[in-house]
Amino acid sequence: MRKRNIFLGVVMIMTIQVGVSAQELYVFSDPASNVPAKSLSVKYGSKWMNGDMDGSVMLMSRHMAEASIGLNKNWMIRPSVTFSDMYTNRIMKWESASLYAKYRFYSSDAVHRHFRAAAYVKGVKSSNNLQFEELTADGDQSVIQGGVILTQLINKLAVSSTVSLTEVLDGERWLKYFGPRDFGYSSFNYSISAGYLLFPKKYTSYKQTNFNLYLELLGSRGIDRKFYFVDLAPAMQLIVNSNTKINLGYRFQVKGSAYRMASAAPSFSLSVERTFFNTFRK
Amino acid sequence: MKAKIFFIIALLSLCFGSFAQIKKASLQASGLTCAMCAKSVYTNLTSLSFVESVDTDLNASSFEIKFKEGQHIDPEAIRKKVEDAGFSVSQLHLEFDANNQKIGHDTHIKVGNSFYHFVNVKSKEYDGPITLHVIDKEFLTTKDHKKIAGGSNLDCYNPGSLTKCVVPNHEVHSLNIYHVTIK
Repeated sequence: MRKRNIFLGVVMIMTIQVGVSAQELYVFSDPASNVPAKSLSVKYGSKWMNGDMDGSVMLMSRHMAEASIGLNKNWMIRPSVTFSDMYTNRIMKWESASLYAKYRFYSSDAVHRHFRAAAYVKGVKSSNNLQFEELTADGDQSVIQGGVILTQLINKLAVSSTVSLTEVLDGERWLKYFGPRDFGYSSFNYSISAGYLLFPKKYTSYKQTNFNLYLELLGSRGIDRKFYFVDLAPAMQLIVNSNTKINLGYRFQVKGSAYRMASAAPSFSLSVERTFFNTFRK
Repeated sequence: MKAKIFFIIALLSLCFGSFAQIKKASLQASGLTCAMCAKSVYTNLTSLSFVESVDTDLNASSFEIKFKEGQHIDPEAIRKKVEDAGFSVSQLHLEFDANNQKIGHDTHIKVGNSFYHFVNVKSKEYDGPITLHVIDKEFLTTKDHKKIAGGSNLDCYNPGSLTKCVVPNHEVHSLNIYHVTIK
């Protein structure tokens, strides 16, 4: 209850300050906007959390490399790979490869404002077996995820909402076995994200470092199995030289019944992303 | 020899006389607030072959564009670059050297390979620099376009739609036509 009040308070503060100017380069979700056409954005990301390993607590991590490519103003693709020791007894190794594609199908711009809508699909091939109820498109399982994103930017505030379905592609799913299953194969996921450009108050140049604050609510529900969780994830972001983002995020479960790693421990994420404008133009 | 060079220069300046009539533009982009977003517009604009330099006003999301001398200015290419960056053009003003030309409603002027069709302007001889406000749909916000289109019976508000707006017998070779009004 207290956490909920804090969340509502922050959202209210963010909303009240509308009328200044905003950000939508979320740390835990994607906006409906794409990377610019013919541009390349490369990102290194990591997730850190404590896990239980044979009764002792150890720090586990996942490392991710991704490249976002703007094909044209409406289409972008993003291949990525992850390495992790989360499922492999402390041995860091290749975990997954994925491909994400997003199509921006609606865009309405006004000065310092926009409303956009996009649909996306992401396929993940993971080396992990199904071990938890939570289904992600981050490398934990082999899945296909598809969803719709709506993003509204008003001056310095950007609010975005995503709904998606995740389907497990693990071979186990198609085995002829009619007994009880340990895990479900489908989930419905949603998120509401808010981002606010805190600094600079007034722009003077592209060299100025920008500081953005984010708060995201991320939830999921099992479709073929009864479970749910709701996470809250505050994050901050520095944008240096108008081309490099440094993100620091914290994600914890507010409520939930799902059997998942995050029910026991929160996670930190740290990522760095550099955008190269106009890379693929002749 | 000197006379020859003078003659060539004079000939060249005749050829490019019309090109030189637009030297600057002021563009406002919509759909963005962040400097990173403006940077993608900026990078795209500077990649245009006829653009000399771009100055950004980050707070207003506006760009002052200086054009290279003797080059064809292509507003459509400018618009495309802004949209490729992920945003839209909400205003494009071109600084045009009228040079004692008579301009009136429904008159055309050819600059480079583009035709500028004047809409709702007072018929008179214009001199010195005047500001052309491009009023085609893709160069305005939806709201501004409605305002302008609402007060006009023209049905050719898109670049390339060379139909009823064109004065008969005006020879037009390309589809680069823009509807402009004088600011």
